[in-house]
Amino acid sequence: MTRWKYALTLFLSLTAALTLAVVPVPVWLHDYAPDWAVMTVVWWNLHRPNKASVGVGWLTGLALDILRFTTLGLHAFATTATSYFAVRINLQFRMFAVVQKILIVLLLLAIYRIILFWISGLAGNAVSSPAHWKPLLADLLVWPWLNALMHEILRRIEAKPATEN
Amino acid sequence: MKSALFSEGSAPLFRLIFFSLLSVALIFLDQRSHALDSARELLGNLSYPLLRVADAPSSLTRNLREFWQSHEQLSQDNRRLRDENHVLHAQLLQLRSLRAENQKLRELLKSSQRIANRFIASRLLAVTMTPGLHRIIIDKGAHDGVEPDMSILDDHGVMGHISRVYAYHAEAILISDANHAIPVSVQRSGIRSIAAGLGRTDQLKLLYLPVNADIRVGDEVVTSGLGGKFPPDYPVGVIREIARSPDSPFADIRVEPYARLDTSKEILIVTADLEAHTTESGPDQ
Repeated sequence: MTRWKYALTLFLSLTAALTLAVVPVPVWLHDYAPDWAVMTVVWWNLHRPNKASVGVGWLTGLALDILRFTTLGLHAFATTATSYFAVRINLQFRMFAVVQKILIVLLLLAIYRIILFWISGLAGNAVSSPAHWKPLLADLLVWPWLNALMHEILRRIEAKPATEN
Repeated sequence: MKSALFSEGSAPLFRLIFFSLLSVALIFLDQRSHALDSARELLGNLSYPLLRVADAPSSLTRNLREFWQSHEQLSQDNRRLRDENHVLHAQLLQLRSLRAENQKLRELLKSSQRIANRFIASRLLAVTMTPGLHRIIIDKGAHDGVEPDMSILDDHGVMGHISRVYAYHAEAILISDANHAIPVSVQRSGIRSIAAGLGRTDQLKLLYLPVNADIRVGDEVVTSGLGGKFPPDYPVGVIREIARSPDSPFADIRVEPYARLDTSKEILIVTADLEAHTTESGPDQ
């Protein structure tokens, strides 16, 4: 029952993040669009690695490939690696102070961007580099809120024993 | 310490290797062959509800605005549109006689007829926010008669062409995309070139034009129709900047696109039969 609840929460949070990733925003915001989906996956990888591991990262990346018209596997490769690093440091992550946590998350998202930049260059979609780093600023602004929201959701799910139905 | 970490991390490591290899295989397959096209189409169709949900807030506000518009404003709009329609009709009359004349001249020259284009009106559904990739999603698909390689326009100029078609939506690539190029000609002098995207919505670059080419700032650039992908003679943009440097045999020419690539919401899809035009350019002596 709880397993089912986790799966549903994971699915819904990722679907919401992917939807946010394709919401049309004003042009001047384009370069600063935060990586909603990647941040959500990284959150799960860091806080509940036994519920969402590298495979979920891969699936999210694949969904991003579809939604962003890139070569299949491009985002998937980057999110797979990012998820792996997030899962690997999840134990240490719990010990860190708030500021350190934010820095680690930024580092993970930077790794995601580096890999994406590198592999899209290999796949022939090279893009000028400064534009590639601007989303990190938005990520920095969004992460604390996303973090708080996800903690709140998970707290509610985990607090209640599975009594209903 | 390392072994303690490793016992935790060996499963993720295995997954990392597995999924990375899978991704690389996917990239390779998707780039080199069409083996994944049907899978992509299926997944693309599955993403349609997501796109609809993402578009919901903006379409809701639009509908609400239309609903609450006052009667006065509606009738005002109506009057304005009717006037505009009259003017357009008058212009169309002129165009019709011009077309007849053109047809007659073509018959005299024994060149084949140009096919009149039809349009499908569509609306912008989503845009990509990956820097350099200028792709959009529009809300008409195979169901509405959209096919790959059709051109898209807004009411100012050429926007790009359809790259992938799903059941109820389609992907289009804009002329400003860093990987896009469109065959064009300069209207005043007839010089042919290619307008390549730079990943910026306000600039295209004309390729391979020598420094002494007959080109001036302010010249209008239209589609040439060569290559058969784009119908000929649709406006693309206007030349804004010409830089001739002594160490390059080519001039650096920047074109400002007419189409409002970053703001247009209403998009026309041109369903052109281009065969007639491509046979025309063949040598027939």
